[in-house]
Amino acid sequence: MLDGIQEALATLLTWPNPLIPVLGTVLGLIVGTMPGLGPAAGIALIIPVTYGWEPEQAFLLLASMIGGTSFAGSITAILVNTPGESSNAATLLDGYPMAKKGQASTALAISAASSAMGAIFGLAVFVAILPFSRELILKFSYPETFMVAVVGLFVIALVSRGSLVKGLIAGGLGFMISFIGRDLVTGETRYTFDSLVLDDGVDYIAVLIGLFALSEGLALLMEPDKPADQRKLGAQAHWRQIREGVAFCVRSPRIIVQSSAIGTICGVIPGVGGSVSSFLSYAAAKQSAKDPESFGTGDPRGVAASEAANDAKDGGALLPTVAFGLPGSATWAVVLGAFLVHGIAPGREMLTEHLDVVFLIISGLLISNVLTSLIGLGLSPVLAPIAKMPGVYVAPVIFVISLVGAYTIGLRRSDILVALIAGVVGFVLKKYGFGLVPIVLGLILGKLVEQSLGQTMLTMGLGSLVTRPISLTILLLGLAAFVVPLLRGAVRTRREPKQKQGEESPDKVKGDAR
Amino acid sequence: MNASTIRQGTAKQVSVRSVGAIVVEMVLILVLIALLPQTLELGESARRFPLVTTVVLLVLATLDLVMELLPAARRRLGFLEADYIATGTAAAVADAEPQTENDGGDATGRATTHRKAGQWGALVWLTAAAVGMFYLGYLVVTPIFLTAFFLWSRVPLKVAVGITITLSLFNYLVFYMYLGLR
Repeated sequence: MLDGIQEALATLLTWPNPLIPVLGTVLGLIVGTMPGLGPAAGIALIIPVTYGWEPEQAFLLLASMIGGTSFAGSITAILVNTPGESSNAATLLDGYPMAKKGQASTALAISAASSAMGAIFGLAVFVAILPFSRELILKFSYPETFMVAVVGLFVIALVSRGSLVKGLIAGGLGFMISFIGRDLVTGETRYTFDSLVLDDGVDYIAVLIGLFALSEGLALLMEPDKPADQRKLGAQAHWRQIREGVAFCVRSPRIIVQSSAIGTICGVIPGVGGSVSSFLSYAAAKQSAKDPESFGTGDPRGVAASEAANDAKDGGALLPTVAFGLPGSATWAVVLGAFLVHGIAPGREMLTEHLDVVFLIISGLLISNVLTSLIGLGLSPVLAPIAKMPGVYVAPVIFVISLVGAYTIGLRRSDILVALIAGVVGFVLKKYGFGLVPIVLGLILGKLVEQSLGQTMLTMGLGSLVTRPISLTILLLGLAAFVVPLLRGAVRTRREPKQKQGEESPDKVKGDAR
Repeated sequence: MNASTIRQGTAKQVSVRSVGAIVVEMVLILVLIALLPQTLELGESARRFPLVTTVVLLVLATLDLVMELLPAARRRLGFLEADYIATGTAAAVADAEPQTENDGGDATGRATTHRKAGQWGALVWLTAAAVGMFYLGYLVVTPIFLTAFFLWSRVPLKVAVGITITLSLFNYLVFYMYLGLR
């Protein structure tokens, strides 16, 4: 562990690497402010640009972007009544009313300070748990790898956007896409339709770009322009309110710690995502307040609760992503793809040979969350107009950058078409209730699952899936996580046979890509 | 966004979604059935996982289609439709004080002068950009596509020129010069 930390520090302090977190933070702020471009789409677009970089530099940049996008989304939620991403929707509930009362800068400062504190909390928890999870991972073999991947996919299908059945279908679709190309064991081609281009399979970065960036661009073009209300920040009051906002967070440790804990726990559960953690934290803060009726009218506790949880979740999400290859959210699903592009496999390899990369990611998140708070507060009057940009301005930019980015991957023109198809399919699937994260996970894990199952059968036999204690434990936990909610739901359905069906979940925040 | 808006939008979204969802499920089932013969022709090791996945997907897609088509099935199996996490988050949203739609005060209602692409229009433009880049390359297509799109959308000239020049320069400097994409 100490070696990893030392290597990471050495890399961070080597010129020009200290500039990378600053660049990532600014990029994240811009991406997070632009309508329609969430962190997942933004990172998917940046990955091709980092191809020529050292992996350590690439991940430092990507981690810094994550920190930047998170706060940027709260700027637009508070000032322009539009959450930058779904996880900032809870911030809007009290942030915008605060802005209407002339306390915009206070709200921004609370968001900035609570974000930074939440991020530090989440990362501290991750670092504390890392040695134990590392010991566990080193005991993993083929059966455990197979079991974690399959159970993880089922759990993500359960908690992802849309219904359980659609989540499983999405995961299965991801598997099917991963089968295109040559079988790893026999070399036989599958689903290539005699096309040489498909012999090497479908590049998942092109698919990621299509699913997250192009589908969002399409959605942007189809949405009507909304007249946005922008609260102007007076220069005089601005800095005084910022001091007040920061002081509020320092005086409210209970809310910060409670919300950070909720965010971290939500982040650890694969696939849960930021919107869940921020809403749960908001609800918890409201329920534990002596005056819950003040929430929703411009209560600073509402802003602090949602933003602390939103940033704490990244520290929690780091654990399943690097240890098990199970992304904590859509953003981390894209980062997972970046790991593989740069030749780093999550799990054992990551926690033994590339521990310095893990600590660089931690550094990137930490630095960007602090920098974001400082830079974001200063730039918020400048960034806010970006959020008002009509979709018709932003969408063609997304189209161009996405398609060129897809071409950058392997200099294959076919990847442009792959991204196009993935974008259209992703848009259609999202529109009709399918989550995108299970597709990505199925795509990334498909070959791993098949390979580990094959190796299990060859070396230990299928029975080892249930005779090895860790594998069996994962299976039982997964079954419990999967079956218990189903049984509860089935019992509830039996007790209330005339419950109105067909009411769709109202969790339809713009840019939701859990 | 307030709770009543969410509920109103929900009802409308359900009816629109149902027909589209049915079509999506049927297309998925047809594609999977079409892939089955190819899957069965594979060697034993190569077909093991794809075959299991295809069969499971067919079952799930059929189940989802039945639930979309038959209200009785949807009622009985409604717990499979539940969005477990969103149910909780929706409750939190519904409990919050509703935001007013009309702010008064500084609300700046701005009439939209852009031409909206619509569903098919958006797909056509995206496809045109992709096909253009496929055949002509990104350096040539970027300014042409952006100019054509902004002219069609009636975007203000200054904005159109600014974005076109900026993005074309960005592509040239970052992708062509820095990354050496030829």
